[in-house]
Amino acid sequence: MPEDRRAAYRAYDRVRRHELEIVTRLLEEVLPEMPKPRGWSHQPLVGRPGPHRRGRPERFTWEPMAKALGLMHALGWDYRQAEGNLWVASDLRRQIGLEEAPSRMTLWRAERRFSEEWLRELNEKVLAAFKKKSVTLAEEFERSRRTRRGSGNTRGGSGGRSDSGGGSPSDSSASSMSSASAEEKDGG
Amino acid sequence: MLRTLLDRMEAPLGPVLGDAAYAGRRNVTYVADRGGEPYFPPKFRWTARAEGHAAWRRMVLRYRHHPELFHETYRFRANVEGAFSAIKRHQGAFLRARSAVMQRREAGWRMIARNVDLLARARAARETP
Repeated sequence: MPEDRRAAYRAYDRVRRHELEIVTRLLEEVLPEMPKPRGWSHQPLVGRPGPHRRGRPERFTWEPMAKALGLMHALGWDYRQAEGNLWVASDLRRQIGLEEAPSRMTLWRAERRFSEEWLRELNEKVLAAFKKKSVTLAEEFERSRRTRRGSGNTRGGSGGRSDSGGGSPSDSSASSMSSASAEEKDGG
Repeated sequence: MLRTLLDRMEAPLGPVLGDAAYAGRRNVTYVADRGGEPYFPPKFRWTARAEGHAAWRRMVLRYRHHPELFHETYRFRANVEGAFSAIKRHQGAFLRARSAVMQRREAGWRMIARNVDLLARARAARETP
């Protein structure tokens, strides 16, 4: 097996085995940079409520709930699985900052409270790690097209459909387009 | 459908790639009017008659006379299809939410989860000896 394929497999294996902690760590890096979503309080209400405070005290704050929802979607859990896994794994709960396990309805309600604008902003923060400086998608597209033309990879013959079998796209363009497509989808 | 989708984008469009299902004169004209460049591969039997849509004629003739240039750009569609396919394989091809609002939010969370997953892989590849 070639060395680069072996390295790729080692990385894949590492992510699969430690998926839970890697995803949690990444969410811990990204979420503190985010502003508080509208409608959530910073701290759970403890002690006596003030004279004008109404409603039930908030038991779960936005950051642990965002981590729980991020984990749920990253690991492909449904609401019931997320409820069960958070109930069982007290160390995971402690790591993401939850004192008690939220029920599946609480998770669903929390998901409803994060607005689309906030989610878009969070996605931008995640994507910032992929992006190179301030290159727009159109510029990157043009650059990769020009590079390919300039490399002398021309196909002869006029007739017939010239499919992509004539040459494989470079790695850099593939990665940039895939990240851009993810961004586009979220934006769309 | 295509026009509804593209209406949400404010910036000039640039190259717009799509399969033959989107290849219609009105779609092509719409993309050209928005400053974009349509790349919808026409089917074999379709004619280049403009019928009031000059951009259609340009696109079909470009496809017929310079297929290699056409596919030079069209090949990027594979990247987008690959990304969608990976999301569907990883997280399933359906959403659990029933209302449209919650479906959009669930889809948003899934995209974030997918990007976090990609970031995790990239980091692991960098850190793995």
